[in-house]
Amino acid sequence: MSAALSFTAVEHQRRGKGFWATFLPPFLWMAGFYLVPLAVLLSLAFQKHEYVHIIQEFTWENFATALSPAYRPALIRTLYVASAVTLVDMVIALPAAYFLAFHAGRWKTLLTVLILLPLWSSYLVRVFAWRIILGKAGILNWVLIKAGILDAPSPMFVYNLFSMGLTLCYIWLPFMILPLVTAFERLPRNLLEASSDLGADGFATFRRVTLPLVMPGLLAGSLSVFSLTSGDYLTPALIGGPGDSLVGNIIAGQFGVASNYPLGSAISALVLAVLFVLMAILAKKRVLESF
Amino acid sequence: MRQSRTTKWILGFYTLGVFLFMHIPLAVIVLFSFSDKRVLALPIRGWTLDWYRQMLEDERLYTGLFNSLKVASTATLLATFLGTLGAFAVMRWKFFGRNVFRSAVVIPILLPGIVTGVAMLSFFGTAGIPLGLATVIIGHATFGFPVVFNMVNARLARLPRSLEEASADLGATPAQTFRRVIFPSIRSAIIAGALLAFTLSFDEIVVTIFLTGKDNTLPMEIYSRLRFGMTPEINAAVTAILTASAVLVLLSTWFSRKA
Amino acid sequence: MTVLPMPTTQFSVQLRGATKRYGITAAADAVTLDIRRGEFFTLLGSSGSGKTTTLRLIGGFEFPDEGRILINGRDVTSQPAHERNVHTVFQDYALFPHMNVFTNVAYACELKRLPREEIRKRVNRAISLVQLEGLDRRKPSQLSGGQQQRVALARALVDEPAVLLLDEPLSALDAKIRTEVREELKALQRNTGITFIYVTHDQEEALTLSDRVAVMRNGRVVQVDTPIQLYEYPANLFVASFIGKANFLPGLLLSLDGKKAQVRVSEGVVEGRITSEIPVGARVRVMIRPENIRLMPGNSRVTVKQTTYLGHSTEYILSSGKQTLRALEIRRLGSTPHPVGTELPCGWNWEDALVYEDDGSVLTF
Repeated sequence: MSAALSFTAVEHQRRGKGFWATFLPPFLWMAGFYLVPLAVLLSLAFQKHEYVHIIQEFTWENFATALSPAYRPALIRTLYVASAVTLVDMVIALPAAYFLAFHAGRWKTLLTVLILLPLWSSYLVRVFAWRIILGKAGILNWVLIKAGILDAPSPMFVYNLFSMGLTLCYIWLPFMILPLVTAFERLPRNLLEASSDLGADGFATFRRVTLPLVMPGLLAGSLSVFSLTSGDYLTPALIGGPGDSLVGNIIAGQFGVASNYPLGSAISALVLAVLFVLMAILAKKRVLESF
Repeated sequence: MRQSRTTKWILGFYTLGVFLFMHIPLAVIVLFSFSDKRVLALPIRGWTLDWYRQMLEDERLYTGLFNSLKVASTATLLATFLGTLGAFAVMRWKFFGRNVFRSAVVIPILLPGIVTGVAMLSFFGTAGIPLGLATVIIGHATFGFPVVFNMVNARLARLPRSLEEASADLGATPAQTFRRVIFPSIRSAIIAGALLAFTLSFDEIVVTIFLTGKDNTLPMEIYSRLRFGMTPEINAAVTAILTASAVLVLLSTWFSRKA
Repeated sequence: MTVLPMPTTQFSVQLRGATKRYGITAAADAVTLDIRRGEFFTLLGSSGSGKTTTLRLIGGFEFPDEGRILINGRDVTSQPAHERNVHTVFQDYALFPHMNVFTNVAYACELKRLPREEIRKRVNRAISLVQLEGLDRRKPSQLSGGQQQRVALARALVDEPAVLLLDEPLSALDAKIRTEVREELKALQRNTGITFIYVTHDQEEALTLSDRVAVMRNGRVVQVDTPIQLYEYPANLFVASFIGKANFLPGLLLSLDGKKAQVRVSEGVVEGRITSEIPVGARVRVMIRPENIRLMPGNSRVTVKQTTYLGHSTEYILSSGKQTLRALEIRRLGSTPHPVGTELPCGWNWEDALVYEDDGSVLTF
């Protein structure tokens, strides 16, 4: 009878006061404080900007500027960096997530929480830590000198694409690990046994059975990392090189000193468009339910 | 599935490596908070607790701390309220757009903070709402809500419908069933979600930068100082926050495991 | 809308044309039942037969699209579950995980805000009824399956409901303790005198436990009768093949002499008792239960294909060349089972065989 049914929608209950009482507050909040602001942002993207004023006239010029050679390098750099970071994080996370889900046994939850603990600490601090490690007077240099590989401290490890990329990989890695661990956990073990029973060795089973089945989790993690990296402006500012700014920095600049909200909004709209397209593609593949 | 022990060991070492990768930067911070040098470089010659003392005497840090606590508690209360209600609405009733709503709830965490930040900034600007702690609270509550929602949602999904029916069967009205059967079962999920939302809010900087007025939260305070370089005092403050966050997250995990 | 008879108190539960649809299928289709006070009544059928839906209609977890439900003479059709004086033992027991045994059992009483002493008295009585003393403080997760079930029972009995609904309570138990619990349930029902409405797919359970059984199929009630009647006089082929084991010989109806029918089957002509109005020449099935086949001089000769020694009896699979028959012979001390390959004569008393019109509903195994 009800053995397999969970706390799901009860058909015979009329959608009365109970439903509206629980649905309206979160819905109104989301609509009012998230969707409406996004709409305002979008509308700003189409308005004219003159000096510090915003003129309510419809125009495409912001988008034109956003895609102009002045800003295009940053957009392309962002795509490239975000993709690279996503790939690197994917490679780092997969074996670890596999280990946690399959070989950690009783310690799985504890280990997962411990590995993910840095996620809950201050973002600033995590970036700054890498400055300390990679800096000219930093730990990496100290180790390399002690090991005899370097004669003098080198500034080449920090304030460039390398340090920015490394830090980005570090910061957003937990967002790849988490959905992957969940996906591996949900894998029915008997499928793997069936596969080896039918003659597949470890690698073949991984390629033919495990990987396809954890793909939704992998895609969910990739979407998160890609999205969060694209918009990251603090890491480039704190540990990137002078010419390494990402689209997030440009947006932040337009909303800060440059005070050109329409341009900033237009660039944001472009970023959003790309992300929403990705989300829509993945939603079709039912990936969003992996969160 | 039988895998060779070598595979298991290799994977184990690899995972240890990932673990170290995740924690070494933090260890560095903690380490240097005890170093007696002003410059954050190796080698460390002497150990001291001076920076912690300095931290405790720093008034602006205290103000920042109080503001952070104010913001985090209010935002968490809001997020818990909204998240719990939302999880209920989605789990209990079939309604038009239910799946869309469920997927939409995740978006504030999925989109980069800058988008949330500038969108809200534009909105508050257009609506004439002055920036201050209130706007920060609104921002934090908006992404605290999905965190609580997910926790409560997951727990509700594991609650067998037969429990609710059994309660009604024995004579309980829907209100009584909620109070005596449903709520006790989800209570720990709510607490776990609230703790996580609190931690997130407490550490938040990305969105907060766009939404603060003249009152700084603790991360904002630290950020403004970091512009001038990292000081050991900041190290100390951050180590303290780190410890507190770790405790909260471990507590949250413990609560979420209570069936 | 039929005119209801005056409410009678002889019946605990009555359903009048209760129908529940999901989409276009009727999970329960015009179900009409009269269940007597103090009766052990079973709804028997395979999955999808509508037995669980019917139970849930009585319990108040679903509302019928058509028809009425009466409990002790009162129309409760529109009453939700918590207002009906009917309690359910759920298949997964549905014990409240955050309460211990005592609080679980006391639940219904606490809702009624009975005084502490009264609650304690009732709970202790319920617990001793199901023989579960001493575990008051344990949480459900610390109990075995059998113990959990007893708690579920005690919880449902604590405030003496008019009717107890049981949804396949034995299915989650080990086969070993199933017979034990079965007997305890029967004793419990007799002691308390509460009307039990029991749902199961296991026909052996139904026959051993019940005063009366309703066989259901595709949402409809096919036959309501005592176990003996169901076994010896099944109303149609479906019930006949669902209950107990039987042989079904296909054939053509040759002639009728009162109740005695002559049927041409592949081996020749056999006799049986007609069960309904069947025209001569129609296709029929002759049902003969294994224990009624006599290995004595009679119509046909058969060869033993398989012998299964069951201790108290021997089961034979016999072949006539064109048909396979299953026969059961009670063992007598000293006699040995016929070995495979033996040729034997076989037949039966005509009153022991039933002739049904062949409507294609014989369940094949």
